[in-house]
Amino acid sequence: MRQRYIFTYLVLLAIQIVLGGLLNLSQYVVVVFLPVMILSLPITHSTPRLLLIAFVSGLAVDFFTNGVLGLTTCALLPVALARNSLIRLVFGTELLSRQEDISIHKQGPAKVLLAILLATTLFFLIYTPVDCAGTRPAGFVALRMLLSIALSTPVSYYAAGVLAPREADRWR
Amino acid sequence: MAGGKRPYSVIWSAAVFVVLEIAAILMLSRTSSLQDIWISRASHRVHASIWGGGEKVRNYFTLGQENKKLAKDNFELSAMVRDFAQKDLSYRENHLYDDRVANFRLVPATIVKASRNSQHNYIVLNKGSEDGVKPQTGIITTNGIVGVVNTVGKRFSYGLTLMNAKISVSARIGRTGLVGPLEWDGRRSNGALMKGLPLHYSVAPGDTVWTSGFSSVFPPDIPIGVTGKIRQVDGSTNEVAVRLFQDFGALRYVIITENLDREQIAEIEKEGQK
Repeated sequence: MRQRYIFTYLVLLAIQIVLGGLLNLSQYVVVVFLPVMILSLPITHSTPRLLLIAFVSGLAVDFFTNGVLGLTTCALLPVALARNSLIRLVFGTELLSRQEDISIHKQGPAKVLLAILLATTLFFLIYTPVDCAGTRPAGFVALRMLLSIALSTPVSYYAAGVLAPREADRWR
Repeated sequence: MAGGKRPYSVIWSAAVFVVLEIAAILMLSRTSSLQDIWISRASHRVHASIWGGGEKVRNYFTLGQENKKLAKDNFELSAMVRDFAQKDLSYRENHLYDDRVANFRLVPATIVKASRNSQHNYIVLNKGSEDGVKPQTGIITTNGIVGVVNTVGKRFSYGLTLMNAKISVSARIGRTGLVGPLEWDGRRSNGALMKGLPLHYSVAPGDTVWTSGFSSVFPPDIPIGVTGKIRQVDGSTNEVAVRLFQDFGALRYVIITENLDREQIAEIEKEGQK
C-alpha cells in the first residue's frame, strides 16, 4: 500500500515536471498541483517531514522545468507548514484525531475542493509575485494569480482523486 | 505529556520551515539575477524599516530629555521676545516721528487704557506733564485724528476720543474746501458725520476729508477719511457720512500734538474781542 502511494506520488511529480517543462499555456497561466500532493500526504506525517517532502518535490520541479532553483520550493513550503491548520479549518479536528487521510469519497467533494482551493491560493500568493519579481504591474500579477488558481484547482481535484487511498473507499 | 510535546513540536516545525525557506530563497537568489535583485531590494526595505523603527523607539525614550531642552529654549526665546518688544516700544516712541512739525510739537505716546463700547469713549496715554503734555492738545496717528487730551497727570494723560459725543473737530472736504464740524456717528468705530453743511455746496462721495487747521488743536491737512452718503437735514443743511481712515478698534500708538502758538493766538483772539 505504502509503495503504491509513493509510486503514485512520484508519477504525479513526474507529470507536474512534464507539465511545467513542456506545457506552456500562456504567460498568464501556470498549472500546478503540487499543493494538493502535499495536502494529500498521509495524515500521520509530521510537519517537519511534510516540509522536507515539499522541499525535495519543489526542488525537483524547479530543477527539471524552469531552472530557477527555489522558486516552487519557497512557495510550497508554506503550504506544507499550514497543511494541518488547513485540514483543521476545513474538515475539523476529528480528521486529525482519527488520523484519517483526505478522501473525496469520505469527506465529500465540496470540502475537499475548498481545501484544495485554499492550499492552491496560498501557493500562488507566494509563487506569482516571486516569479514576476517586481517586473510586472500589479494588475498583471493579480490576473495571473487568479487564472492560475482557477485552472490549477480542478486539475488538483483530479490529482486528489488519484492520490486518495483505497482504504477510504472500502471503509465507505 | 502530550501537552508538553506540542510546543516543542511547533518550535521544531517552525525552525525546520525557516531553515528550508531560507535555503530556498538563497538558491533562488543564486540562480536567477532577476529574483536576486528583487529579494535584495525587499531585504533592504525590511532593513530600513527595522532600523527606522529602532530609531523611533530610541527617540521615544529620549523625549523627556528633549522636552527639558525645548522648555529651556522656549524660556530663553520668551525672554528675548519680551526684551525685543520693550526695545521696539522705546524705538517707536523715540524715533518714529520728528518731534516738531511747523509750529506743532509732537509727543509720541502709547495707549495704556481705552474704552470703545460707550457713547463717551476715552483713552489713557503713558505721557503726562513730565513729558510736556498739556490739556486741550490733539491726539493723532498717521491714519488720522484720534481725539483731544482732556486731563493731564504727572505721568499719564486722559483724552476724549472722536468716538465720544462731546468731541467735534473742524474738518475740510478736500476738493471743494468746504469746512464743517466732524462728529462721531455714534455707531461704528470708523464712522463719522459732517453736519450743518450749506446746501449750495456740492459734495462728491469719495472725497478725502482733512483737518481744516482752523482750530489750534490739530495741524492742518491731516487726512481723516473719505466722504460717503449725503443726506439733507430739515431741508436746510446737508449731512455727509465720513468713513474714517483710523479704525478705533485697532489703536495702539498715537502722537500728541501741541500747538506752540496757541497762547499767542488765544491772546490776540482775546484782544480782538475787546
